[in-house]
Amino acid sequence: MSTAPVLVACCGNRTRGDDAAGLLVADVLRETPDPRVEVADLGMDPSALLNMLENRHALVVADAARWDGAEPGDVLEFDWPDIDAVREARLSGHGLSLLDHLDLAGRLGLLPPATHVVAVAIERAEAGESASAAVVEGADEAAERIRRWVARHVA
Amino acid sequence: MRLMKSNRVIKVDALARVEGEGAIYVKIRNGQVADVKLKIYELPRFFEAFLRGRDLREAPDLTARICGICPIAYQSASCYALEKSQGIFEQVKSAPMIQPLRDLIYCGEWIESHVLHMFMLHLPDFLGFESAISMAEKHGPTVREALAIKKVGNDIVALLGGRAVHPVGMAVGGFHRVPDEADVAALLPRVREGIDRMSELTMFLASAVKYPDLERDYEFVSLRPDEGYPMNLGRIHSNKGLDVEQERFGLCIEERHHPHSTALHSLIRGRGSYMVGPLARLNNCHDRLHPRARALVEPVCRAVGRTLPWRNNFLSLPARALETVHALALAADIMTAYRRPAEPRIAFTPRAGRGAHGTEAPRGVCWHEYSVAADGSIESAHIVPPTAQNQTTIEEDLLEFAPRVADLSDEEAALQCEHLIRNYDPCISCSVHFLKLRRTRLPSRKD
Repeated sequence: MSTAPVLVACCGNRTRGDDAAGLLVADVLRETPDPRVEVADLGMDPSALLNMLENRHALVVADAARWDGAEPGDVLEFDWPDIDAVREARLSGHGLSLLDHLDLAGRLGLLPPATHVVAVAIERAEAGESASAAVVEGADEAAERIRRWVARHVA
Repeated sequence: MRLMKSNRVIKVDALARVEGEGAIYVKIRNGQVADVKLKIYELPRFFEAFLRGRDLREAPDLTARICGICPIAYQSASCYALEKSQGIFEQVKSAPMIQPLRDLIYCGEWIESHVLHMFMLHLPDFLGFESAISMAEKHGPTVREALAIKKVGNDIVALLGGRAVHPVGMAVGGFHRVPDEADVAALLPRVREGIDRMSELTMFLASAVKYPDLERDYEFVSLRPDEGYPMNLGRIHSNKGLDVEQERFGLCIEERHHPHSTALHSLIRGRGSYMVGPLARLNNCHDRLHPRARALVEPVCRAVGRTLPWRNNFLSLPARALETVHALALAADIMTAYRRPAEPRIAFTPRAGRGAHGTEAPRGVCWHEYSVAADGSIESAHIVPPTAQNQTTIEEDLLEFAPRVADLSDEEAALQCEHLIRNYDPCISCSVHFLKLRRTRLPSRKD
């Protein structure tokens, strides 16, 4: 089976409210499949990304995020590595963020020629809650932005 | 006596993702370590409540969501505990291929979890790098090798679980489906190759790394099966006399709530703290490692300068490496002997019952206890994860260790404390992981 030229890798936790944002993006993308695109659910283990990059022309990663001044549902997109993340103590494998893995993939020469990051701003990530309406809407917008990026960058 | 800065606090808001949950706090007063706290957010309490009223057959997939890196541990413990409640535990154990397949999928999890921890987190500490990211610049081939081995683990999990992330293959009674012999045979060469590669990496970890010295008199708790290395089955055993049937483990421990942490701290009743995890398993059962791993024990012990038992949890790194060789070799044996069973699971009609069982998550014993109603719904659930069991031990390690770093800068002291905690590969905050982005590199307008 051949590898899709574009990988869209989404992280999230559906049991923790807005932390599901990346996975909601995956859900929206899967509603209208694109044969050029493989949508991967990384769940809470972004390390799985590192073994999925071979023979890709492009990578998009989607995740929940917080940043100063953001409102829940805001969407941010950047080409990697034009983004920066707060370094937090990595006590556990869980503490290695999606961007840590992008960084590592880059240092190992594993990243495809084009890598793009799409983040959905969140508010709350409490156990047992559903994602907020604002984040659900943000996920829709994020998915649309990913489709447009793929259309611009992939033949 | 070494002089310390007389009054200070070493603090790491380690996992301040949600309202400051997850932190290290070491207080030094008048030159003495006055207080040590490890704050951990623990998700299983939420799941215990969430499971009440759910059909017992949902429990494996629901509890797997407690941990994104070790879902198989939660699935297997819940399956065995519920199989006991339904009176089918012995049938599952003796059914053709179901028990070996349970061991095989667990091997996959050990491989991918141990490799992730060893090479992405723990080894950088010992080699003086901030993380695998900076380590990859100088040790790229080693990291690539590790990733290749990790992929073997992920692919084993996917083979039996349907996918590497959020595997869904395991069911109460066995598996939802089992793989074709051809699919198992196709993966076997990479597993065999992985044994050799991981054996070399094990000797590298043993000989190229200088291990800090922190020896303590731990009570090591692990499963101890009738035969083989601890993984899915066996009584629960310690080096200090604990030897109980699985069902009685909950009576042997006491879980205490401490205000600084939502995770309950586990103690052996009448004794105190204990350790679960690779060091406990290795010390208790190293004679039962697969021969490919057992052959490495003596040269590894020579290289690290310590014979077993190891009482220094910095040596959990080579312990994990030995276990990874064991898991690869055991997986190869199971796959070589695999014959597709006619039935993937034992059928049963839900009934009222109680059951308890623990399995060896990569981080240590993960123990579940369930009470089931006549209609098959869960009346109560009790989940004891490995990190909560280690929490008191971690704090005691910090208490012992803190004087050694008290003269360092705050940043360096905190890093050293993090290094110590990483010995335990704690399952902390697996529940949230959203990114925190720096404002200075973001556009000034809403995009």
